[in-house]
Amino acid sequence: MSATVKFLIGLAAVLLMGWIYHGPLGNGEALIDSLEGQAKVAVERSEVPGIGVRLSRQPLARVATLSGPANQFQREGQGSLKGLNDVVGEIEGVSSVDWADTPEARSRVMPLLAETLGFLALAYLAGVVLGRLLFGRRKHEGYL
Amino acid sequence: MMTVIDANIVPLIVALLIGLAIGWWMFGRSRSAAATDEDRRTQMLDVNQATASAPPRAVDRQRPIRDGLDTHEGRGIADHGASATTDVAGQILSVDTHEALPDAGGPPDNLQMLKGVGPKLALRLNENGIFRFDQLAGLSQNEVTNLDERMGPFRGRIARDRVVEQAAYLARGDRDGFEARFGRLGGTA
Repeated sequence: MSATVKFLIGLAAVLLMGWIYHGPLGNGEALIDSLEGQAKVAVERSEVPGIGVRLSRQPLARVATLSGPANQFQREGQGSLKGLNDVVGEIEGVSSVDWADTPEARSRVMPLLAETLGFLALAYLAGVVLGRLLFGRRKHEGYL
Repeated sequence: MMTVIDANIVPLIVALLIGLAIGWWMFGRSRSAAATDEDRRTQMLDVNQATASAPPRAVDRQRPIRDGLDTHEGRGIADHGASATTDVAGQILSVDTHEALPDAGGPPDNLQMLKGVGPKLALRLNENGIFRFDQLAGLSQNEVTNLDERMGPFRGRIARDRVVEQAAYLARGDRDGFEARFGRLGGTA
């Protein structure tokens, strides 16, 4: 069996595991739920009435979408005064903030599944390289 | 980003372990190859001890160049990592990631003039297309690593004995510089 086939078998196994962990086991949705909860708390603390926030579900993504009657100042802040964009965007794990009434909303969504699989593929590749280092390199053989 | 990593730490570790297992599956055979090389090295030593018809000069055997030596050139973690990454990428892409060594131009040199290079090592270098000092002197770091991998029982000697550096002096005819740095020339020109 060629090295390429072996590599692809391992990669397929890793990606399958990642998909199962993310989807059927519900860890992707749990992460988004957690971030959405934190975003809602942050919005409530900002005391701007009528503002809602939700994270992307179709597909699951770390993009927060705000909605409601907020003016430019409330949205973007001014100087040291933080706007809702800053308040939500500073939550660790939220990648970007959109407003539902802006045309660019949801135009640049990176699915959480793609991020997860990307990291898993990198970890897999690191494992293969480590395996090459551990098992593929002959030890130093001095002659003198 | 860290949030995604934290949330997926378990599958990330599993993926790393799967990669490690696949790495063993893909490259584990090299270890048996190393054992074969070790056997050949032992056989060669036995032959040398048995025949001893033309033993290398004592100075070469007992006084390998030591000053400033063992720099582990090409043997650091970063070097191994880079080389391993290249190897893995080459295997995956099914391409030869190792460049061909430079061709010899002109009459062959006596490679045994180099400190630490005896008849067997010189023969091994010849088998890999190295006949002249300027070939050795012109090797890039990657080429040295590739050549070293083909040295069998002599693996590591090129870096350890600073063969490339020695060859550079001789390639430009700087015998004085060579002797000042490495001691008297061995072999015959």
